[in-house]
Amino acid sequence: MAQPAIYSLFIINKSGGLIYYKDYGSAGRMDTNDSLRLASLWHSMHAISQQLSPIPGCTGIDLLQAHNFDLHCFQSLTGTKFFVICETGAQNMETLLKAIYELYTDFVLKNPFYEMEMPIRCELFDLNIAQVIQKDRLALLGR
Amino acid sequence: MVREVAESCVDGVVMEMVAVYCGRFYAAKPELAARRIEAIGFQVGHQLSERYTMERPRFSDHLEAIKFICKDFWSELFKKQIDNLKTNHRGTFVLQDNRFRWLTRVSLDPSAESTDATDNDSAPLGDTAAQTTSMLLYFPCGLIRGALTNLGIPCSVSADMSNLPACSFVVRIKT
Amino acid sequence: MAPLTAPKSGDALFASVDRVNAELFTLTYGAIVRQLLTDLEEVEEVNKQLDQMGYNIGTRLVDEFLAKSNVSRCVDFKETADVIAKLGFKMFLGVTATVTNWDAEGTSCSFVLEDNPLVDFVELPDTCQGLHYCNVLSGVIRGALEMVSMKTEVTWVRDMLRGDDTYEMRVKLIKQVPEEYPYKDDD
Repeated sequence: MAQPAIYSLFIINKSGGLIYYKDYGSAGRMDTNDSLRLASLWHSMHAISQQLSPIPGCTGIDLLQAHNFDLHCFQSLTGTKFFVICETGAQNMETLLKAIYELYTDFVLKNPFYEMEMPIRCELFDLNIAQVIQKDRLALLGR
Repeated sequence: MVREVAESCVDGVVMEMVAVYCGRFYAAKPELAARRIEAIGFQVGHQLSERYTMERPRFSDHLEAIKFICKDFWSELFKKQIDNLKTNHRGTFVLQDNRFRWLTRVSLDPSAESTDATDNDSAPLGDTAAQTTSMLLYFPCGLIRGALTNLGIPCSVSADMSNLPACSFVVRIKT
Repeated sequence: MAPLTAPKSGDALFASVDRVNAELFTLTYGAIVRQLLTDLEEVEEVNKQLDQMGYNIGTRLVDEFLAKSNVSRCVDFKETADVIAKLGFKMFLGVTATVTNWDAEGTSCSFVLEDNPLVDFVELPDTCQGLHYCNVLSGVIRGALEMVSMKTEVTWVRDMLRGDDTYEMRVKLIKQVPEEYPYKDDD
């Protein structure tokens, strides 16, 4: 059976708090504390990378490559970070992250029960994300 | 051509209006908040029905007016018609919209089994969420009541949303 | 990061979002203002409330705008103002604003709205002297800009409902909040 292209998805608010984490079948699913800690570390690393940049105007890490996975990160201009852990060499991840950002604006920010910067618990958001990830997976496998 | 704005404008304004009345003004008195929200809807419904009926003949009976709400009025507002209309023929009408536009982005249920990184949020939604959703619905209830009242049909309107995003509006005509 | 897709034009952007009959929006807003006037009595309180509502709306709308417009980071306040005028107003209200009256420092300017859907059908009664009917718009701008690290003050300088020849809102950049570096104070 083919491996899923996407292992997990994280969303971090502008102060570095994890507000969304979904696992789509990675080997080591993290517990809550680990995922929170990791999110805040990533938030810092992202900021450090901007400081490391030899030229001003760097917006932080977009892609981190390891030998057995890739991490693609997108930060909105409002400071929310979206990142996915996926197979090495997975394509179209920027497009996927943009699509997830759009879903976030529709199904999280327009949900009257969602309080800004707080953990996201929106069923419709989950469903729609699952769909784009599925679609994306199919597109990848269909190649 | 009919002038349009992004749907987000209406969503945003309605959401804030509910937040203002339920949260900031009448946090402890939901029934007062409900009355205000309904009143706002009533005024809008009243004005809109005036505009949408300008060029048509008077309605001959209640059913015809209700059908106008289900078809023309609903289409103007939501680009779709009411999906199902039932009546007991004694002044009660049930208008069902299988996918009510204003509820399509409401996620009620913080599903219990998702312990994913998010369970540091202690306040359970539950009752308050259901209450706020019904607050959201006072606005369209007011819209319908305002429109019908303007067409000469005094009534009361309530909403049932047991099956999101479907929603039923129950119109009881006062005799 | 280079934009994935080129920013859309204002028209394309407006065409791409879900739209509704503007009357519903205009009348709903009008009914809210009217109800607030009844409940709050003081016109000044209503102005404040409308501004606050706009602010709250703006903090959410900005992400939708960024997600759907594909605009990338603006180099300065001038570019930001242009983006708001040409794309922001267009995407949500279907009209564009003109940016004028820049001060020498490039930190304050005016948005002029010739066509303002918010006020279709509106006439203010004499009892509403002092009401800034469109305060929700200035609140939205303030809220949206704050989310992209720009603290602003937004005030109305011309208002057709008060007898002026157009709608003009003055936006003043108070400060550009620097990016946070979380690792510095992280202990």
